Amino acid sequence: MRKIFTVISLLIPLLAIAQASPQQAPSEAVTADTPSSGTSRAMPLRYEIWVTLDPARKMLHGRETIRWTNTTRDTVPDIWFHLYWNAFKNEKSAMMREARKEGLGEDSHGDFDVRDGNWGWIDVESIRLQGGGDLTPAMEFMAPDEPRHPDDRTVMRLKLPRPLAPGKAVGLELAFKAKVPRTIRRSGYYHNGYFLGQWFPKPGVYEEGQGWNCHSYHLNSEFFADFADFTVHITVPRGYVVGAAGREIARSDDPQAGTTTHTFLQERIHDFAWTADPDYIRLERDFIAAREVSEKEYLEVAGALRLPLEQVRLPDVKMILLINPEHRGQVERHFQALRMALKYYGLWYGPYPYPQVTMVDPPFRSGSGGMEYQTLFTAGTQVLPTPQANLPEMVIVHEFGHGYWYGLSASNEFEEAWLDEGLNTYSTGKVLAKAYGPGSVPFTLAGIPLTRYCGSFKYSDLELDRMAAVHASRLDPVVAASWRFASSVSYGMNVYMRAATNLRTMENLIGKEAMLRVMRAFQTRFRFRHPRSRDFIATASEVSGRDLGWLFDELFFTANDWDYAVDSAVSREVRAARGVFDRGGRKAETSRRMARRQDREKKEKTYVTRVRVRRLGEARPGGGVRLKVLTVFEDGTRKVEGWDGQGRWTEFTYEGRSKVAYAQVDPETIFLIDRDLSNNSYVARAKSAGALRWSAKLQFWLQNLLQFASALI
Amino acid sequence: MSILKLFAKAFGSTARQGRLARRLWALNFLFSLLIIAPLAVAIHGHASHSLAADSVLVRLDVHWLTDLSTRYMESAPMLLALLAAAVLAYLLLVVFLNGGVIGRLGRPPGADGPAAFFHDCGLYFWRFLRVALLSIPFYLIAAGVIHRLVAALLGALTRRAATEWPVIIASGLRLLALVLLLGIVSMFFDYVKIGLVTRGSRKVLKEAWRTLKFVGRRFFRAWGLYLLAGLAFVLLTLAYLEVARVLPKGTPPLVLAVFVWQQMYVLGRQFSRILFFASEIEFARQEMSGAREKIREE
Repeated sequence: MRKIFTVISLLIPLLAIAQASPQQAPSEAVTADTPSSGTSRAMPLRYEIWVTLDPARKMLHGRETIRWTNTTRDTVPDIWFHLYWNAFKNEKSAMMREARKEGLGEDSHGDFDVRDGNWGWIDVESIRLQGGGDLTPAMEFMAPDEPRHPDDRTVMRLKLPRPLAPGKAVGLELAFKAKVPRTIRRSGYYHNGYFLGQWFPKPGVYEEGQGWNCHSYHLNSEFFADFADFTVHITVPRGYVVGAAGREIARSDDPQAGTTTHTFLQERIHDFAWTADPDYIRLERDFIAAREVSEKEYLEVAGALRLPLEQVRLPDVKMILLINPEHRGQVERHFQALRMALKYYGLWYGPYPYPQVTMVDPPFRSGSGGMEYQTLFTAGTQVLPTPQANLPEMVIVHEFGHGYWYGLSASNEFEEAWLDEGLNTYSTGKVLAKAYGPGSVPFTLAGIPLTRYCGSFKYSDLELDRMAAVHASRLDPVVAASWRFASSVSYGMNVYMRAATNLRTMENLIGKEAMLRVMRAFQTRFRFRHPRSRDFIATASEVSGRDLGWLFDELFFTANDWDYAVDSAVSREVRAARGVFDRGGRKAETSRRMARRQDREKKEKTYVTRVRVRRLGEARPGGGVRLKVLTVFEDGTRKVEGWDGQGRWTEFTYEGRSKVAYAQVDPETIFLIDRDLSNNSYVARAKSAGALRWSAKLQFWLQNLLQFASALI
Repeated sequence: MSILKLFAKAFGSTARQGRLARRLWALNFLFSLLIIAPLAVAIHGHASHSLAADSVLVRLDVHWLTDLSTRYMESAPMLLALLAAAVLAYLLLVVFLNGGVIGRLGRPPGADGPAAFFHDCGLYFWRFLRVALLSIPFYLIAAGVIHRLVAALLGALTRRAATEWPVIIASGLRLLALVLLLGIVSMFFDYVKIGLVTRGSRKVLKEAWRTLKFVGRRFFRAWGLYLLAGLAFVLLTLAYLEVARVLPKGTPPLVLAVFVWQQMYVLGRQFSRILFFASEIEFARQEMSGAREKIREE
């Protein structure tokens, strides 16, 4: 309940957030390698975990030591833990109940149709103070979110024997066991393939003055955790190929047990996932910055970001790929996509700070594809990929990109998922457009690509994002707690595509370079920290030098449509006026005949043009932004006006020698989020060819449909 | 006569009945036009006074598609219902037209004008409607029971698949099984209709029983011929697609050229439909005359 209030109390001040510029150092004064300052905290956590995989019983047996330091000014009485896998324990977990509410998993094949014996769970068998007493009896399960799910077992509270004073640390030793589920929500097994995310007891995030931020695992939610140093010892049967977050620092065989123990180490991450499969092919390549980025590119980016050249130079990174044997032919495609991601995310949003990144092509049917973890992510492809569809490239770029927006600027995905998904969907679109251009829709028939005949339909990410965005805008605001959305569909479309389309709109409004600086500044300032929406808004306003609070109020915090339209653009000839007029103190009437004669005698005709523009949606511009209204006449004359867009309509009148050709509101399509871009313009003389083309196509498709149907008669 | 020769003969007789294909094409075109006209007006209203008109002329503009979908999203259920009703009405029309097609192909040459064609349409309509109704449970059994069994078997075989290939192959086999099963039912009822015309019978059930025995005795030859006609349709479609993908677009004359090519394909499909009937009629004729000669010899 308290967490919900945290969210709500966050939203209200955001309405006036533009004025609330944070007291930060200049945007680039903090670099990726500089420890965060100001509101950031020192890293409060350190883990060492020993885990053994028992493939026969599909079990994990683990020991975990945690050292948690109270880096706040509060005295902390307890520690809250996530036990994520208990979401897969039974149908009473918050996730399963939410899934059932949406009709997921009942009589359908999918993640939530769990067959008997396939459930997963995690038990903390014991918990002790390091060098101290047994705290196991002090554990209790919590249901922190509304609506409550009292039988949910994904959050556990441990009452400490003594409250922890500021600056003090506590060491805990946990023993746990976990049943690996048949893959659900990216974690689990299929055959001999294992993908293991969110698999260990993991403390929530303690927020000063707020308490523990530790939500139940919901249907739509992802994760939130503190940065930590991890040392993880993974024991698997010999012959398994293991991939994990971080770098492998040791490996030892136990011939008697027939096992191998891999030790991985990684500092400053907040998530640790691993995978094991005897069939993986493990390959390595190097991202060599000097080879990938030219001096000219560095100069261009440094210029756009207004940074010294040295601050945009990229480090070399080791790329590790675990790939299925049947996808062996796509190895270079995977590495090339990762190179592009490392290059452009690095150039635009800051150098990748870790020495290596592991990319996993997950086992077939594992359901683990397309997911991000720190320094490790899963891609996803098929044995017959559509050549021009930018798959698996899109997945690789997107999932790697999460390493920046959920990974480095570690936002709270439970409460403000757009700060990860939205920013990353926006960034993915930019990188894909730069590296690959538009992609084809991957039409297939029985798994076989039909590119030869359907490959001409190209799309860009921003087009598809907008398609989802305008359909989602009335469902929910973009910023809301993940379990508060009307449905999974609304969550996905708002948090990913609508947020990305809104960011495109912001980019169009403030300019590409300013947007690049905003994103870079946000990433750099909040690396290894937990930013909120208010931080992004403040950064955007400060760096762009414009009040952007209204844009977030209108497009992120409400479920309002943006839709402006040119209602009409009509020119009428100015004719001689009829009636009685005072001329020289006398009344003189201009008759119909006289007026016609005057019109005929005119050497040049004059026209009055009226352009009427309407606001059809509820969302409106603010911050002094005026909508541009362009009117183009047949002789090529152009008139540009501004409108504050506040009223329901406005009208512009012109008198001149030429008729109107067309009028257009927002001619540069700054507001990409506009619900109907077609009505942004009005062409005086109808052009039928395009409409005819599509009518003809529809006719042809219908003729074929009818013939297919009648083939059986 | 081999089925290849039979097929060639049927191809010749279909080609000679060119006006039948043109007639069917014209009716198909007009029927579709009636359905599309209101949509075309809506599209025209949406695009023609917008600058989007220029971009939709050259490509499928995703922004325009988005605009169109947001505007008409709420009407989608009604449009789908209308479409379903249109398909149903068209099926009735085809039942009616089949009488004319098989009547013209199945009977000795005579008057060949529209009057004779529509006379046959009317003459066989109720018989063919009963055939169509009778075929429904067979299609349901083929698609709903037998195909499901096949799909379940393939699913069981690939349930534990550890790689993707078996699943892709199974998916292809499932699709193939569905097409073949529906084809067999369709072929069987084609022979029922042919029997009703050539024998002048009115009793559908009796004819169906007779057809069962007829097709049952020579199933693979009949099916082989049917698949040959199916192959002709596939080749026709591939030829259409190959040309369509290289046709340039973007100007009104090219839009017209593409439309003409599309309509030629629709005409080709009508030809292909008649070819199915013609090959089956040739096959039935040959087999019946063979049987008669055998009886005479005995």
